Amino acid sequence: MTLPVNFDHNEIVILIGLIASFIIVCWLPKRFSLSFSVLVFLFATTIARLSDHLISGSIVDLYDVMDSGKYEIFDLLTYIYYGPFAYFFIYVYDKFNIKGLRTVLYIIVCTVLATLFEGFHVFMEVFQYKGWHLWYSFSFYLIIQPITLIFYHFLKRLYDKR
Amino acid sequence: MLMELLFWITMSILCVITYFIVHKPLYIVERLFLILFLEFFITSYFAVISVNLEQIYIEKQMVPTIMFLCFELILLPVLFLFFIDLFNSTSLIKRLLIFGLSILVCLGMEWLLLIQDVIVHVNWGLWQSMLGYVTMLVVTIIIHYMFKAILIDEGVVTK
Repeated sequence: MTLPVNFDHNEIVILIGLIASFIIVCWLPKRFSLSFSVLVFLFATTIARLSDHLISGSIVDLYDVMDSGKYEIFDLLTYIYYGPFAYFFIYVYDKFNIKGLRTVLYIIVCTVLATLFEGFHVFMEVFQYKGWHLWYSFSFYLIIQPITLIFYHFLKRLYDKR
Repeated sequence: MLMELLFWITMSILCVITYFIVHKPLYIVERLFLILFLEFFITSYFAVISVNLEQIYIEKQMVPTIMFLCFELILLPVLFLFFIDLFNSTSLIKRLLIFGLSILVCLGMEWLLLIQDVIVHVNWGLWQSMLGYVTMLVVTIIIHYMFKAILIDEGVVTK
């Protein structure tokens, strides 16, 4: 993995965001076991990596992460950055026992927030679009968030059985 | 090229079906962890080798790319998972045999991609790929043991 071409605002945004989000994860009252949390983190990180690999790769290259199309160390940190947000998403869902139509509302609100958050990162040049649009991200989050909830319920069922 | 594509798709489907049918000693949580980790690790490995180091050139047309994706996203992770599953259920000698066999199968698949002109080795040899697969398998086994220790500690699985 290569080091950043220039260590500037986009790298600083990722570092601050990553440290702050991990501090919040540690500060929040414990709700899930360590292995459960690891799986949620890994799920979000892998989904981010695979999406990037498929739509920002060789034949379909719709955006770059960080300064270049190469696999930088900060690309890796960007994927890890998705972990805490998946954790917060599951955490709030579980804590407030969101059910029924409120789940739809919750997904829409989180999708809007995630899209706005990505918009901020586009502004900070963490993502550099080359044919991608923020609206596509909205649709993407709208698909990924229910999948994350399905993954959570699947895991919860497995853990409750034990 | 379409016949070759069909071959890789068929192999991927057969590999997944076989994995689901065969008895697996690992608990599903461990397998979930492993498949997520392997997908991340393998795609990162090939990105570093092909994009950063430019040691492996992957054809940039649609059909070869799909063939490579079958190898990278389905066959290799499922095979690794299959071998780690077997690795955990046998004696030391069998473990070493399984380890060696798994590396040979991975190399065989890469060799097939080479002769089908899906990938081109630029200043790269199969022995370097072998080292890569050995490293990936060893790292995955270590990471799996660490995760399993957490699961045992939490009482999710037993020793």
